Amino acid sequence: MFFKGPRVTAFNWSCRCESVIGPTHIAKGMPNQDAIGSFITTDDRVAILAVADGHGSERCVKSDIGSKLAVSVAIKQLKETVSHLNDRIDFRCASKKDLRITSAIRSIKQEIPIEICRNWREQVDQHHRQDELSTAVDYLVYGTTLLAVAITSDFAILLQIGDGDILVVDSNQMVESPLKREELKIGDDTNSLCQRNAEKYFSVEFLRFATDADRPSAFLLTTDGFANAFKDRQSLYKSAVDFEGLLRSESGLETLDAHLRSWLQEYATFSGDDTTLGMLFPVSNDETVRVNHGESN
Amino acid sequence: MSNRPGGELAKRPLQFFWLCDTSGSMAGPKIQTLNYAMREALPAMKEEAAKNPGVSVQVRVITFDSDARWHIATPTDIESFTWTDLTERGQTAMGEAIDLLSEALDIKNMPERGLPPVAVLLSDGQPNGRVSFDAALERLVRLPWGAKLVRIAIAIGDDADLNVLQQFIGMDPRERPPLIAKNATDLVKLVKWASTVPLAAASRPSSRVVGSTATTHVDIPLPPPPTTGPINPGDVF
Repeated sequence: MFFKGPRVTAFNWSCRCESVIGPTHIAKGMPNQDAIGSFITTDDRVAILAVADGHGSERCVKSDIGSKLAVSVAIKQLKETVSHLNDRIDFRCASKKDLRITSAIRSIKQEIPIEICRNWREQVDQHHRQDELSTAVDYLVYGTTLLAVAITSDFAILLQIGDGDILVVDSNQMVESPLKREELKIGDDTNSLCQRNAEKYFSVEFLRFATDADRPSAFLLTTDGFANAFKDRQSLYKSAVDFEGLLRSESGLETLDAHLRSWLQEYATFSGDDTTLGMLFPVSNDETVRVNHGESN
Repeated sequence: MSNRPGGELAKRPLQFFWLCDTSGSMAGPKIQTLNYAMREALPAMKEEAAKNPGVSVQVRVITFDSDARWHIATPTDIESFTWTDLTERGQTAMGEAIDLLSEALDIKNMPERGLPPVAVLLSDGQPNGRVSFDAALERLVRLPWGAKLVRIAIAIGDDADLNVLQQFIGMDPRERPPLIAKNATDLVKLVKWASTVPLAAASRPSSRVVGSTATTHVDIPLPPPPTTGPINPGDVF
């Protein structure tokens, strides 16, 4: 699933992932409820990153399993979607108003949430049957959020249900959150894969990169333990700019690899929560691509 | 070590409210014990808060008698919080106290990153102020932060209206009944419990799924049982 890349041509993708357990769950004797996973094709031209945050309440006793299943389902779904899109459309030749693209985007936004919800429930059903044969499954027990990004040289698909952030840093080091934030969220309220008709609560976005300038410089996916450490959104956005700067700098990747875990532990001290960060970023053809694979916890 | 990416980190605020009945019926041993209990509970409360270094516990106090007022209006960091004695007078304007609490919990006054706030209501009687208790409580629970408020109630003595206190708590009595202090020893014990256990639980909440039937995502264990054994008659309320 995760590869060490050869010397490659321009705009290949690399990934860094890390997750730490929060003091709250250490105190409660619970495992890390977050999960993270990534997939990059052998030619490094397609990259997928997914993170999920299990709810970890008294009722959600298997939400650490739920989050792992969500990551796995999302990666599989996005692999299929990207492959299908690339088979149908040559994005380099297609015009901006190509009806196939418009139709494909509409289809993606409708179908991906439905497929992810369906597949997640099937995985949960299967896991439940392994444990308890006779009782009906309660999906809340496995409840989790989910955030995922699939990127190629030509487009990106972003999706999210529940809390957490997908931050996009553009080529001018400006930060955006392309997906609509949950307006209802105060405190620790969240939407979840376990909700009835959960597909209605997804946000899905398609970004097309018509020129090199359109292509983001980095995507950061985080669970809410990361954002909750910061004083405000501005401080959070600064982290995206700082991480992107590090990724671009000489020896930046070495610095990142040496310190990322301890930084996340510092963030977790403030949020109290499991804290997970995944980054996707382009690498040039002169760099040996070293992929840090994202392990589900 | 390289500089940590990102802007300023900050503790998550947790608003803690005491709502204290200072009506005329609280005169004598009840108000004296309440003041004593609050002072006694403070070190344990500070110790509990210190266990969660990422949480900033901020305490305020509302008193209610003929009217309701802020006894300590400014959210005060628990590290620097000291108790100022209460004195009693007049009726039991509990509805007014809840309206003051609602103002504080208005979304424009609350931090977005806040942890579930906690309110502990202590009363020895029945609400009889100008503002309807039922209406005030309805207004409180309709607020986004009011719905997340962890509500605890302590009945002081035999005349407290347990139905009203259970209403305030807003949960099944089997899960979270009002705590009952019939004597000074119990009041001290329950104030200490109320100042630490809900605080610990609210400092470590889990996510709450929108639309779930769970009434709370802050799981609080049951309080200690009442004191058994001989009680000094002078300590009985």
